[in-house]
Amino acid sequence: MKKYIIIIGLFLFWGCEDPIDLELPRAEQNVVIDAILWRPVAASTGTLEVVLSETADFYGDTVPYISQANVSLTYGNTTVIAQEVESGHYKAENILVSENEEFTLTVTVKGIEYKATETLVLSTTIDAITQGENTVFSDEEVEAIVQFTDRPEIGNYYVMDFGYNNLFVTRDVFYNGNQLTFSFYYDKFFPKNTPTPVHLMGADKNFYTYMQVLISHAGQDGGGPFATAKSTLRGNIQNTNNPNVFPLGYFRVVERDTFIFTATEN
Amino acid sequence: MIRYLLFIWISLGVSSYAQSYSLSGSITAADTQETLLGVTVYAQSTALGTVTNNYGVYSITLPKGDYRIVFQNLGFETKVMEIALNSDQTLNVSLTPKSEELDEVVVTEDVERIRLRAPEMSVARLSSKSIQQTPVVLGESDILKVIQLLPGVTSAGEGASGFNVRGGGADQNLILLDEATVFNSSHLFGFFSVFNTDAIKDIQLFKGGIPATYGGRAASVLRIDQKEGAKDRVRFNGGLGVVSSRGLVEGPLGKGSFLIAGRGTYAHLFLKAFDNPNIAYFYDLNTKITLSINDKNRLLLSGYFGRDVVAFDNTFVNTYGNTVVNLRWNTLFSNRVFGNLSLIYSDYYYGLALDFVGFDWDSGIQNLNLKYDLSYNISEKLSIETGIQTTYYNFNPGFIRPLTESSGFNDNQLQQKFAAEASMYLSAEHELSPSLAMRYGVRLNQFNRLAQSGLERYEKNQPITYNNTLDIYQEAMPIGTYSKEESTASFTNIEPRFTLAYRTQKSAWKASYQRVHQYLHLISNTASPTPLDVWTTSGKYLQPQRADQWAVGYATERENGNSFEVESYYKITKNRYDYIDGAELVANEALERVLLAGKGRAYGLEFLFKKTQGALTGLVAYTLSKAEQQTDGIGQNDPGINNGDWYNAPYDKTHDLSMSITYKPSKHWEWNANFVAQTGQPVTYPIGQYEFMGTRVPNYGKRNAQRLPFYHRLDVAATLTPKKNVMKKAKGSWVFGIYNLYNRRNAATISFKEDRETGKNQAYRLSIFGIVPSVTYNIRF
Repeated sequence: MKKYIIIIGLFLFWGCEDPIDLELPRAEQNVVIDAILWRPVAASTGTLEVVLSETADFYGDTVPYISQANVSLTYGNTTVIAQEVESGHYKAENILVSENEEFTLTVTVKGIEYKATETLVLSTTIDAITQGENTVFSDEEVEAIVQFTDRPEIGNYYVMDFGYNNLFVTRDVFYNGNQLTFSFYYDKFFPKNTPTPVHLMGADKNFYTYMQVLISHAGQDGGGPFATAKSTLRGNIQNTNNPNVFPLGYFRVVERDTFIFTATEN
Repeated sequence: MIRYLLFIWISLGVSSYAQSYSLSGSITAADTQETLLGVTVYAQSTALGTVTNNYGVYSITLPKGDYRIVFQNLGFETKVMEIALNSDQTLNVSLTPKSEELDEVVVTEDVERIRLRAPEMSVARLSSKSIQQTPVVLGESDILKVIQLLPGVTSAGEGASGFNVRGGGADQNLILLDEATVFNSSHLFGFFSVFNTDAIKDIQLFKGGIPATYGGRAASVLRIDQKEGAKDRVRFNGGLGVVSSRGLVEGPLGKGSFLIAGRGTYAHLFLKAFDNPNIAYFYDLNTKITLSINDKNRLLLSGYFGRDVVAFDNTFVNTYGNTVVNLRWNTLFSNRVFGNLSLIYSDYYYGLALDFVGFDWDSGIQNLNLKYDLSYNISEKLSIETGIQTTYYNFNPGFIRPLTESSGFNDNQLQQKFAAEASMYLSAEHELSPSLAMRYGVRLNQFNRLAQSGLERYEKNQPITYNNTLDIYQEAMPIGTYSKEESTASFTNIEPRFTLAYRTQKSAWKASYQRVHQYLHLISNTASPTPLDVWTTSGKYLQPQRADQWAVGYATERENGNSFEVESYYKITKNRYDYIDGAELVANEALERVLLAGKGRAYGLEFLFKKTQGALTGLVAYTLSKAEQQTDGIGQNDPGINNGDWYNAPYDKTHDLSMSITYKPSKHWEWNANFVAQTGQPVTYPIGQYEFMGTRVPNYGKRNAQRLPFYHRLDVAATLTPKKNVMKKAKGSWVFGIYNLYNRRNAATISFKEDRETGKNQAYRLSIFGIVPSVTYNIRF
């Protein structure tokens, strides 16, 4: 019964991901409204920042910004007009941002009016971001160890912007009221010795869901067979002239905290 | 109705009982004394015949007289025994395996026609031998890959778990390993099936015409029976392959037998796929002990344990797998009555340790099943099967605990769910006339969602709301919770099953209808099913799925062993749940808030040509089909998914062609080739891009409106059985295989993202297997 078995050689050619040329269906251009009214945590005034653009061909290089639009914010009896500071970028500062106030954003592009109304979502502050030495998928990654303390009395969702197209969402369902420590991994394109602002902002359930889907669409979940299936992503802005032609994008009113993180060469 | 049917049976039974006698017994292999399933037994020059049941036992009733009884099974010498039947008789038969040298054409006569005549359709039966001959990736023979060669069976793609039958989802297949439900049929995300071919005796796949014996899944039943183990002497067989190895020991044990089989891949298997020194491997263990208590009673204890481990640098460790234990007690009450008691425990575990987030996650399903099945061969024209079964389910959606003191996570048990199901069935096989036979039956189910705490309550009982202004579905706000007593729900359903066969000299026309209810739902929002997909149960908010299938078919068989079948089916499924856009499924305590009930329909035409004799054998299968879903919405003037229009189901394949050819020019060499060509899987492509928060985001269009490129692939294999072996008595063979011979880069998925080097958007094709040569050495002694 005790017999041996012969060992075999092995030649494997594993498949992997390769870029391909693929013709894609074209759709009509859509207006995209990326609007944020934010104040620092526990501050009283904040800033409105709106970026207006149009959807572009998937393989296109440039973002078709929309200039000369009318962008205004209404709350209580006040209406503030945002100024275009660069092509497609509109800004208004020193806005009194208080809790439970309803803020209505009105954007008019080529005679079509878009509207969204939101209230303030609170946030917490980032305790620290330090550089770690672990990596997950590649040795060239940078580990950022993030710590923040959830405030149990406020909202349950957070959105983070780590810069360089690195967006992240989290919810406190498993750490409500605790200090959370987790690692975020930048890929090899993250610049070293360059101060990078990392933003933490509060989110309501709808904005959290929106961002979660958007991150998946942007391919930051890696794509591949285990990525979530895709479909059109609608935000919270409506077209008051023709509800069927809805704009893309989102208007959020949030508290936002910023921490400057600088990675060094390991 | 049941009472009425019983009355007919009894009167029929009585009327023919006087001049008829039964012949029964068990059929075993002459060498190993392993019982043989599905062996054809028939009385020559009569139309009367049967097959052995799932325990190798047959019972046939014939009018008093002299007969030549023929016993035939694929791969065995046909045996003919003369018998004077003037009383009930027991006849145990052993069949000699066909030696490799003798491969000439054997008597087929009426044999295959017995099966052709039987009132069954849409059924495929495979022996482990025919599976081992099919070339597959990495040299490991694989049940799921082989059944995908059959018409009407596909998979969502390379790297997708499970398989799809007639436009059904992977969760709509009832997979039974020695009668125990297996929840996940794949290892390593679909690259291997969980079934070790060495330990398997017989496989049956019911695509339709499902007998009333089975229930609980809407699309198909895949029944897999493990070997019992040789009773003559201790035997060993094993194989050493490039990425996996396996071994099996079997032998006599007192008045019975045992079998232990193990299999594993080497830890470095998937490294190259990720360019990384991480690990991905699986192992599994099959065991079985059979014990004869006496002539009439037998105990069978089966076990299966399998685990997959996928780890990235210990920061992410994913472990999952099935555990199955089954104790069965066969009783032969008389020559005509056979009974079986089963006590089955089945467990599916999914665990995830995320070091960089700092928590450990355990989830799973357990079920405990007790059932009794009885078959009664009443007369030469009528036999019945009946049974009762009860199942208790425990769903654990997840237990989360912190990995370290500092992680900040709290211990958290997501609400567990419990259910109990009871069912009974009655099924009859009935010869109405020499040319007309029928199988009809009815299955009665009662499914009870048991009490739980924390089940939320919504206004108008509507967990999803439609936001008119924004044109999106939103989760409703709970307005309270149900008390434990109120959280229950109960469903009672009757399922008629019906198959009719009308035969002429060499061919048969068949028709069938079935209704099946499915109380469990696998909720998935990924392109391919993954182990993390959430199983949930029908209850207050989720209704049971109900599938009705009609099928018609024609089958013909020639003396030279060539057969041709064509079948057409139409299927409608109610309460097929689809997720709303942006639904979060993992760790979701209230799945009802992100799911919309829809319906599915599938129809198709299947062709199968088989050549079973001669040096050249094989099959050609072609399916033309459509599988669609429609999700209407909740009746608030809302559009549903995709504006309420029909859209392609994720596993819809318009064309599906498979060919499998075996050529055996001599006793030393055997050549195999498989060719598969099918329409690409439906997917959603971006129709543009936009910028949000400084990130470029693809803008996606309608769900499943595009398709991946056409899929095709050729595999070849050669088996060499050398004349002289390294060892006396041992029998070795080499299997050389090449998967994807012409190195076709089939897309498993296409993803769209920014090329981080150039900053431009790009489409990326993920093709999993290029050309993969493999060598395996198999040995038996």
